[in-house]
Amino acid sequence: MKLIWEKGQSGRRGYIPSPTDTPEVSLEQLLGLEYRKEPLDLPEVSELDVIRHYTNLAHQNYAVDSNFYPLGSCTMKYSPKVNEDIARVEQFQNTHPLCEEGILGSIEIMYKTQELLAKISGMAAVSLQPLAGAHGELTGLMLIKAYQKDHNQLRDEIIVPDSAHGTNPASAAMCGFKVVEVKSKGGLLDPEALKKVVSNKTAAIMLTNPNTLGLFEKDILEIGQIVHASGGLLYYDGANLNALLGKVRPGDMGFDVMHFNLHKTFSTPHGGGGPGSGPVGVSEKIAPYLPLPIAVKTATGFALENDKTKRPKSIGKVATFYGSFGVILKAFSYMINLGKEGLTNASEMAVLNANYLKALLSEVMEVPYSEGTLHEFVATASGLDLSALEIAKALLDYGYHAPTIYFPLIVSEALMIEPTETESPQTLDEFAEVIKEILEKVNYHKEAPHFMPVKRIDEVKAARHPILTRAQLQMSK
Amino acid sequence: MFYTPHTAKDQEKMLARLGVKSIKDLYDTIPQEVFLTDWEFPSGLGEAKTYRYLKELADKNRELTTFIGLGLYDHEIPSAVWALAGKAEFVTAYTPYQAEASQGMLQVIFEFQSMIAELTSMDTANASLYDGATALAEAMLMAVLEKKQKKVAVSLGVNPLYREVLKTYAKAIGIEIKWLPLNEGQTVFKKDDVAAYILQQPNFLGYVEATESFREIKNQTNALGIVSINPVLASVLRKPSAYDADIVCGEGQALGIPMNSGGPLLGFIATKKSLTRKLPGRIVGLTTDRNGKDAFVLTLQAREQHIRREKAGSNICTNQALNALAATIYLALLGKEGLKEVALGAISNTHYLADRLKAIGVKVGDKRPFLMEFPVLLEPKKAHKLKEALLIKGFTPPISLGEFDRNFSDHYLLCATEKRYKQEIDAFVSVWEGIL
Ligand SMILES: Cc1ncc(COP(=O)(O)O)c(C=O)c1O
Repeated sequence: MKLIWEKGQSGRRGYIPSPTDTPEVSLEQLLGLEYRKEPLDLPEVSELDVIRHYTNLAHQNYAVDSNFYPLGSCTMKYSPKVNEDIARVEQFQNTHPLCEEGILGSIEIMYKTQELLAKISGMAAVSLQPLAGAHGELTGLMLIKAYQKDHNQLRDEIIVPDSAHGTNPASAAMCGFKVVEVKSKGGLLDPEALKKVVSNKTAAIMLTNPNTLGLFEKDILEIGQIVHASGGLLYYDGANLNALLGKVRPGDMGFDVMHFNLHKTFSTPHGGGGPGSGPVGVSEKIAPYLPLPIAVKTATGFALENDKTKRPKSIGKVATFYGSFGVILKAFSYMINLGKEGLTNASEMAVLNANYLKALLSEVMEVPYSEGTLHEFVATASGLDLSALEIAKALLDYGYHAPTIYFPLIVSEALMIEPTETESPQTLDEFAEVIKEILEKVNYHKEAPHFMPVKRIDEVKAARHPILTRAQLQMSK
Repeated sequence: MFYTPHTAKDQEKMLARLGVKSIKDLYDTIPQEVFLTDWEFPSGLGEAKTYRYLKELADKNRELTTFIGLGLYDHEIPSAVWALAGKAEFVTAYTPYQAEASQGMLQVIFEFQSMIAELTSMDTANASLYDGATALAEAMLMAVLEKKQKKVAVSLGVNPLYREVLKTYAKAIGIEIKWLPLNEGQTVFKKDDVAAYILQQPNFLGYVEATESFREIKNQTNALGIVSINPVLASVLRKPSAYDADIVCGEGQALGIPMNSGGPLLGFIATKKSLTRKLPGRIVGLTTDRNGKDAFVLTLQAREQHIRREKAGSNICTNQALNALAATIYLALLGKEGLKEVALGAISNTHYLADRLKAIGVKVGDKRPFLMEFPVLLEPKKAHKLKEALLIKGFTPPISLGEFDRNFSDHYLLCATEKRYKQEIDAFVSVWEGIL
């Protein structure tokens, strides 16, 4: 392993900024005590050094474009290349957000994206400002807090099911709420258990639907009645929306606030872990609280509304500007490209693929909450001779990215599998065959991976003696 | 357009395997009352028409010659940055959960953390946060949790857009913010019982703060010191560690990321060793594999939401990995000397612009040394005329600070990065000359 610094030579140059032709300021004179005298320990490499180094690193990475990537809850679908072409158009890239006259086209796209997301979700209004799913959750909870406070409600509890994603309780706590966990029954939220925890302290319940087991919360309408009757609100975590496009809308199910994960459902891709985009959608009564600025339609076109006097209830800003515009643009491109039929088809094929793969894998693995799963399912390795981790590592050797493992927490040895709609049945057949083969050669695969750039990694050592930077590495030697 | 590979035959075969008649049967857990029979949504345009339509919308934007900043800057971007960062192996991967299959991205992030630690003069950095404003909000939360004290002191020299975000977070969480006023363009610190002092260097007016007063107030109190920096200008400014900063964060867009109408951006955060386990978000560490070979892995995960759930300090999951990659490549290309040259070019251009404007009688705010931005005073009427004239000539008008901060009505903010030519600056100034 060589870091980029080690590829260089003192004095070597990569990129030389174009010369400036204005008189050079003397920084030492200008800054005095505020001048940085110490040199910067940055690499000294040529452009080709850089190109080779990062090209080789790219080769050490699994990705949707090279590998089947059935990472549950993450919707690793194929991202159409036209998205990337559009995002590189210079009139989008070279525009400063604080010159509104220069970004009228971008604002129109923001407005139209808000509208399309509202149609897809059945919500009354949408803000594009949140920068990822978890940020959408936090924003949504801020909206809920503001709404409840405005109605003189001292409600400080958020209910989450035990199957919830970690960001749900983390966002609630971050926003100053107490988290009340409710146990699932048969993989679903049990209305009777819910009744026991709902009270005049309940600010909201956070649900993913289909939930993290891939199951649709079939009692959702009753759940909504119970929570609403107590004065609480319903929050929808849109991470699993890919299962439902054109089938059912969160707004119709009774949700008051939700977030979208544009990097999941709308193919914007994931970028190795971001940037994402997590717009929030809200019902009519929550709309006045949405963050500002927000894109609006005017008599003459489109504009960014930022007038607090017109929207006095707004919670304010949650991000520097107007959201991840480049990501929003790709999601918009995806939506208008696929349209109604394409989006519905995407959901249908996602559900068909997941059910088909579940049927194949059920021959060799148990799927504890199997009945009625939609776009993903959770198998378990308990009772098998290999752990979920060992199966995951063995899959890497066969060129597959592993499923999400050890989540949701309510299934032991969980393997959470979401094939997405863009995979063919051949790929799923082959994947199922590989799983069977792995389970037949237990001893061999206990040592997996064998063929990756590195063997099984010592995670305990990493946490116990953290080496997090090059400087720390040098000190450790 | 469809990107699904299923033929009619495929579907038939799959449904037969499942023993169901139609795809609709797979959805039978959804209550009838809410199952959509139809919904209002436009039909698909297909790829080529989508591209054409979006190109038309792009044409409604204007690529103006940019003379503004306020947290987002029009720097040169080497072609190699996105030639590499645009590689599908990076773009279409996700968070490197499976380390053995993600050594590429993990090493990139390790390098990113190393470079950010160097620029911020801190010991450790995380794998990125969303943007400069949310990074500062996370830093504030870190201090509040560390000090168990729900009060912070924030300089009014912090970017007003960031201040708005801090206010939103503080209000929801119940944190009290004490604002520290500016005097002659510089923050006035006051001794207080707070979790942190929050400063921006240079402040939003472009002025360089006198960092000794930050060090002094830190010595007099038990508070943490948080500084929001500009990573390009950090290459020429006194190290935050030299004035006792504990957490250094900021916006990394200047490092090779296009302006993109405001996003996606790149938040970064770094801290001292003692606070490492309080950092939000992903962190990559170096360890070994079972054969003793160097290997990278996501580490210190016991801080994070997927393990700690409601006890996690932060909820962040997806971050800005691809932009962190772009910034890493940018910093590798620019290197030891290049980044300082960018700073020097931008500062020289900005000073030239200020001098030219002064020479034609514009009131330039130069109470303190400034670097890449400075304010000017304009009467609103003139500012309006100027705005129109500049737009006609293809320039961005200056940012009206009154819109963001009432203390600065009649103040307008300007910026000139290293990307500007002298000729462009002269042409820009001649529009002002015609109006004033
Ligand atoms: C169910 C669920 N909720 C929330 C999130 C958080 O979304 P993001 O990573 O965009 O912040 C995820 C992401 O994995 C998720 O799977």
